[in-house]
Amino acid sequence: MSEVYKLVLRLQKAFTPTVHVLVAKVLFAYMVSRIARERGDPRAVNTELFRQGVWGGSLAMLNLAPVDSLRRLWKPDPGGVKRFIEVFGSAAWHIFAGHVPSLRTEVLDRRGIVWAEVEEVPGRDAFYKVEAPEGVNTLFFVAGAYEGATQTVYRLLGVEEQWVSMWRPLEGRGICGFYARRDLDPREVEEVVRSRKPEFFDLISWNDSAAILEETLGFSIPRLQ
Amino acid sequence: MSKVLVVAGPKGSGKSTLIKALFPELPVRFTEPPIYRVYEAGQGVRVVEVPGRADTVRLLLAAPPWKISVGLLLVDSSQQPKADPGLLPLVLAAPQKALVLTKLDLASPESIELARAEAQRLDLDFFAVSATTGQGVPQLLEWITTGAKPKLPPLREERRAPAPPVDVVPVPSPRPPARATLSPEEEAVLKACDGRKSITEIARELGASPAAVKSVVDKLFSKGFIKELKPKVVV
Repeated sequence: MSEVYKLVLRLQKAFTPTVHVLVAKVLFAYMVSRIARERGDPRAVNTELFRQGVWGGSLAMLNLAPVDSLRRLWKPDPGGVKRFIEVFGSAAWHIFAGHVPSLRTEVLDRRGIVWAEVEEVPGRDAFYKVEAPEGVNTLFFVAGAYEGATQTVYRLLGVEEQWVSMWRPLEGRGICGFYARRDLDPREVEEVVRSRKPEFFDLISWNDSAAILEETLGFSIPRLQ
Repeated sequence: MSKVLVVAGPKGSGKSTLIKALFPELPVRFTEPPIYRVYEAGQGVRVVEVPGRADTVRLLLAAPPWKISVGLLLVDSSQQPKADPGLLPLVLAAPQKALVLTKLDLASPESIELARAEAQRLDLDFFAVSATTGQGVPQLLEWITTGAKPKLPPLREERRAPAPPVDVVPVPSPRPPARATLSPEEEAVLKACDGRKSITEIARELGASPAAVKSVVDKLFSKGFIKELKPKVVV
């Protein structure tokens, strides 16, 4: 199965409009420079990059996702969600970073918490690999894009009231995130995620994510009390 | 002459725009003054526009043609909100002085807070204004005229819903689905989608937040009523 979709992705990439990575890097570097000048503090810069990513990921999902394929692939059980992430998590990375990433998924809770780690292939160039000021992590943009894209998928599938997803950078080599059922206690989901990756919510908390998703995309995510 | 108002700031900080917003009747020139530029406003107010040039500041401090009554030091919210140290002595010479953050409509909450902290550090009154939206201009004018201490507004709460980072135009599908039910919100947004207006512009037209419009656009997209989203530069 995975070999088939990798082949399909390569074919799709070969026949769709493409652009040299340098162009994307120049534009992205300009955006990061502007945000860095405006915000100054690296933590504020990372948060703004994340917010920009949320919006960009949502737009990309709307413009590029084949809604019928999303509906066919979506199976709302942990095993089905795992497979869904494997296909669409890789596809998104392939479209924007230009290569099929290494992707690991894991069911953290059978009731509906699935973990994913998307790692870049070392040595491959990508738009987000620009020299940034100290403390600025451009993968926050990528993580935000995955968060915005995943939430938009939920909306396209009509399950935005049933699932929640959040993504963060993975130590400079990719991103990680989770899909969780909304009927689970958010505090419990947060604890499960923290036990898998303690620093996950360090810069952008659960409630920060909820606020950003609400103000940019109009999602109403349950907040931690 | 009852009052001399100095408006000082680096190039591009919005000096001319602010003067025009404060005194619309003045024939303001939107070019950087060679040394400084003087306007005679009504009610005995003389407005002096001072660019961020060291020689101008030295000249005005060494041989002041008038006693400065009110000094405004402008900082641009799209740049680092730091007071220009070269202009500071001129503004500090005035008995009534303030730091003015311009382009408030483009300002992030962090830059507003940083500018406010900078004003506090320099012992200046603080105003945040937008000549585009008019926000903060009447309060600044009142302060210039009466000298009354400004009431600091709770800026974070007052900010309008943030505009999308990159605005997009929802393009309606040329062949919308024949059988689909739309909610009243979806109908209203779809009606506003003409292939030219962006999400922010539609939000403004409908009196909703851009996020709320985006949410409805997503649903229209999934139902096949919107074909694509085109990025658009909206200023």
